[in-house]
Amino acid sequence: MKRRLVLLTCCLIVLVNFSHSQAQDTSIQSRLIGKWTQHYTGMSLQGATLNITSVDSVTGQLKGKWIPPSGAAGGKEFDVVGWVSSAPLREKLDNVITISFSVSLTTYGSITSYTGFFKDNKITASWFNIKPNSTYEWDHVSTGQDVFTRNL
Amino acid sequence: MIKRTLFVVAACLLLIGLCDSSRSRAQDALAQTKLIGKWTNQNETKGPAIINITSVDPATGQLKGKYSPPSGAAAAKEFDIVGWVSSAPPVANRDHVIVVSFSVSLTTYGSIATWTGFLKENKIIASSSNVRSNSGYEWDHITATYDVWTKNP
Repeated sequence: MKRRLVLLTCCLIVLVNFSHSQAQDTSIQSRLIGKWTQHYTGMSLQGATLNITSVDSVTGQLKGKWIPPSGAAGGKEFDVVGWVSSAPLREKLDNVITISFSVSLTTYGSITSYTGFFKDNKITASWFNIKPNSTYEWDHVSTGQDVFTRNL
Repeated sequence: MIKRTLFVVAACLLLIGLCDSSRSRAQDALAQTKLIGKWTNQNETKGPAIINITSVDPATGQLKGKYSPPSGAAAAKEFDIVGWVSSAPPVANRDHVIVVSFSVSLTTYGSIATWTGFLKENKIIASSSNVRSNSGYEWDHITATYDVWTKNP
């Protein structure tokens, strides 16, 4: 009888943990999947659209599309790849969902990567842009920080 | 006569286009050959992490591979990396490189690291940023530095 109770308890713990983890994953996915608008920090430039189409619930791999607002690549769609991750909340520490994504803008031969976090329904990310041709050896990489808000 | 001349000009243009295209493909193939394999991070403060670039898609430039951390709780584990390789034709009086970016999700910690830089003189020189899930302050989730990766013999 005791043995059965122990087994039953173990099964219940596993089930509760599993469903909690699945629910968390589903929650992260539902919060991230969809269209987002890029906002340049401190500038009034029109931002690009990021469309997150999937987040793998096992690996956290993110996929989507990037639509630049203007220029030679304006209106075209480019593949986005990246990651979503998280860790359990720790006491007295600030906790966020971590995220990265990058896009190869083949029109220019440049790549932009974003590394940041999801918090308060916004994605805040620092970015690096690398261009294949530059005036000097030292200015291939540009950097800054953007905020993405979800399209309604 | 005009028709014939036009035909010859068109054929020449087509030939030039084909040559450029094959040269570009050859360059792409060269970039792949140069990138595929194991690379070691030379940043002494971080320790010798290894990335193994296993494939670069010749059509899209998508890069895949594995990342092996040098130490800590995730040491000896392998993590998937995803990213891109790209380029553009060289432009006169401009410094020209092959651009590359890759990212790894270190699930042991819930952190993600990204490198964005270029391949030049058999080295990958890249700015790196790391975002961690838990930090002491709201403003220090993201850290940045730069790394140099050299190809393993």
